[in-house]
Amino acid sequence: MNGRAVGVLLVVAASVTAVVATFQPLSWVGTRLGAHPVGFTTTAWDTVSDPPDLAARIETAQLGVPIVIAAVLLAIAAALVFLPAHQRRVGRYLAVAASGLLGGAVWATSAVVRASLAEDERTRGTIEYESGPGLWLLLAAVAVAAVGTVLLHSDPVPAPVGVVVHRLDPEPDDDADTPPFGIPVAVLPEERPVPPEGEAR
Amino acid sequence: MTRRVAGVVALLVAAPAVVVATFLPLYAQQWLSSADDRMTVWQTAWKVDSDRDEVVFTHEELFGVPLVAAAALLVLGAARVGAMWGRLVAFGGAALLLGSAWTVAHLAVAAYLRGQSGEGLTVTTTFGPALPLLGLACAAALGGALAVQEWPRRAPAPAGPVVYRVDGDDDTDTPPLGLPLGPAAEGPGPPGSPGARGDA
Repeated sequence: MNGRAVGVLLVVAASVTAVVATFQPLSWVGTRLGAHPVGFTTTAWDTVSDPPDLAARIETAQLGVPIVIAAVLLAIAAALVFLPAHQRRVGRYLAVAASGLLGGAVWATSAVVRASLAEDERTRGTIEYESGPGLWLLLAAVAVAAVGTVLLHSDPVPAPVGVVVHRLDPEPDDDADTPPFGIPVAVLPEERPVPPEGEAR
Repeated sequence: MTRRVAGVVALLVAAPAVVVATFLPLYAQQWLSSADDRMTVWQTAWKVDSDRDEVVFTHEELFGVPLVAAAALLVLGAARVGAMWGRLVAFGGAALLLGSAWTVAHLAVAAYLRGQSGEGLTVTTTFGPALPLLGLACAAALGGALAVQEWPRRAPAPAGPVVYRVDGDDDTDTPPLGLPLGPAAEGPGPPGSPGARGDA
């Protein structure tokens, strides 16, 4: 299995992981002081309270939109690798663009989550702030997408045409002056028929 | 060559615009209480601030980090545009900028939709100048990053007559340029003239 096939698999895996991660909880804010934990779970699409109907619908930033679009672009880039060689450049640039888009979106998303988790002095101790598995899945997707994009750019080494000559590094006292194909065998002149005098060859 | 120069200029315009935009308000909220007490709160890519000195926000909003990192990649790519890795860095930086700016824009839109009026408090949210500036910078960065790339040459236009070979079961044995005229018919028209070609 060559590097490019591994790259295609990694890019597709990153794409699926990123989409799945947007539906996983990014953060949880709540309290465990009572019998049951009470809190709010935020994904990249929605915020839900743990006992439902704890609050009215909370408008959540649709952070999943750029992530899902980047994931779709990653999948398209992986498919474009199977184009003929002179058109494959499109897929490679698309993979770079999609990885960059995913990286920027996830980086900003993690900054958003970290800002929302910053503890407020007044509520410290009673309110707990946790980051969820969605954030770690997103970061993993970015790392996998970056590695896969690099591997997508690896060209298979073309098979050499013609005679393969391996040139060994000469040692100081070696016969370094021997040409790579060896010294041509001397042709003995007396075995050739001697042309008659005066005849043009 | 001029296309690449224009791309470098676009990259170098986009990068400082991004840095400036991170310090401008993404959105501003005017809080108007029933006691006619008003306060304006705004958020930049670095922090939340208000026009009241006594109100202190401890939250550190660090959305500016990926934006500034993307701007740095744009500058690096513009400086090393002659090398393949430099052009790829510019392209990746533009994509990074678009992704992070897009996420930040969703944040501002959610704050706008949230509103939270009621209980004697009226909240009016307006978008700040950072969003259109970020949008323009993204457009300039993407355009510049695409302009500096090595685009493949177009195939040259064919010289001479273009002959399309149509597959079919009629007269497939006729050569594409028609049958050469016999020596007896060689008269007014030169061989290979359009009249001779169309007979096929």
